[in-house]
Amino acid sequence: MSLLEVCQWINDTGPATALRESEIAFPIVESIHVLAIALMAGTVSIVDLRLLGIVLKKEPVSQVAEEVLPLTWAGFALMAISGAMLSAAEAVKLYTNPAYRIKLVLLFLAGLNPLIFHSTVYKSVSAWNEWPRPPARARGAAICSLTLWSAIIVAGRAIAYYH
Amino acid sequence: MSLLPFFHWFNNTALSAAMRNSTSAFALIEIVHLLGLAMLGGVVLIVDLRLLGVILPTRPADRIARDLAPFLKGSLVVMVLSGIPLVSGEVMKCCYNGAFRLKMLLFVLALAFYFGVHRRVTRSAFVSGWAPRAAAGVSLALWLSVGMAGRAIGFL
Repeated sequence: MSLLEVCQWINDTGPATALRESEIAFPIVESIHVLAIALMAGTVSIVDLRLLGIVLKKEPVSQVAEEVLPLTWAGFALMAISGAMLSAAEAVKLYTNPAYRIKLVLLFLAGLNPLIFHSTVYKSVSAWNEWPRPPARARGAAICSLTLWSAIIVAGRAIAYYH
Repeated sequence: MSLLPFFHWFNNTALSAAMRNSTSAFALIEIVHLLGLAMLGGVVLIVDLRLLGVILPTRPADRIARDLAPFLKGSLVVMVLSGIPLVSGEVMKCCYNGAFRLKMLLFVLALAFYFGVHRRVTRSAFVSGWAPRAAAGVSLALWLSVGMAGRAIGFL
C-alpha cells in the first residue's frame, strides 16, 4: 500500500468525509487550529525571549520554563488534535501540497528541538538560572525555536494558497 | 452618520487598488498578521494567567505586565499595520461582513479596556484581590472574541 493509497483510505473514512463535508464542524476545527497558535507559539516565544534575555529578566529561567511550557504543551495538544482532524479530512488534497510537506518536516525539527534542548543546554540551568542574559548556547536554542515556529506558521498558512 | 462614505473613500485609495491588483500581497501580509497574532496572544495569555494566579504566582505581576508591555504594544502595531492593507483589498466586502463589523467593535472595546482599565490595574501597587482577576478574565474574553470574529470574516 503506497502512502497515497493510505491517504486515500483515510480521506474516505466516515469521520474524515463527515468533517470535510460539514459546513459547521470544519470551520470550527479550523478556527481552533488557528487561534491555538497564540497558546502554543505565543507562549513558547515568551520562554524563548526569556532565554534570549529580552523579557522577564528578573524571573528565574527554570521558573518561567516550568510554569509557561505546560501552556505550550496544552496548545500543542490542541494543535495536534485539530491538525490531525483537518489533515484526515483533506488527506488526498494535502498529499501533493508542497507547503504541507514542508510543514511536516519543520514540525519534526521543532519536535527535536526541545528534546535536544532539555537533554543538553537546559541540564546546566541551575548554573545560569538567575542570569538576565543566559549563555550563548541557550540563546542559540531560543533562536532555533523562534525560527522554526515562525516557519511552521508561514508554511501552515501557505497550505491554503496551494489548494 | 453612516460609515459608508468612509468605506467608499478607502476603496478608492491607491493602497486598495494595489492590494486588489497584487496576487501575492494578500497572502504575504496575512502571514505577518498571523505572526502578530501569535505574539499578541502569547503576551495577553501570560499576563492574564499571571493575574489569575495560574502561572508564576510567586513573581510580581506588575513587573511581568510592565516587562511584556512593549511586546503587547509592538504586536498590536504589527497587527494594525498589516490589518489595514488586508482590509483595503476587499473594502466593500468587509463593509457588509457582519464578522468584520463585530471584530472592529470588539477590537475597539479590547483596546479601550487595555489602556483604560487593564493597564491601570497592573500598574497599581495593589495587584491583589478581585480587581486583577476580573481584569484578566475580561481581557482574555475580549481578545479571544476579537480573534474568533477575525477568523469568521473569511467564512462569511
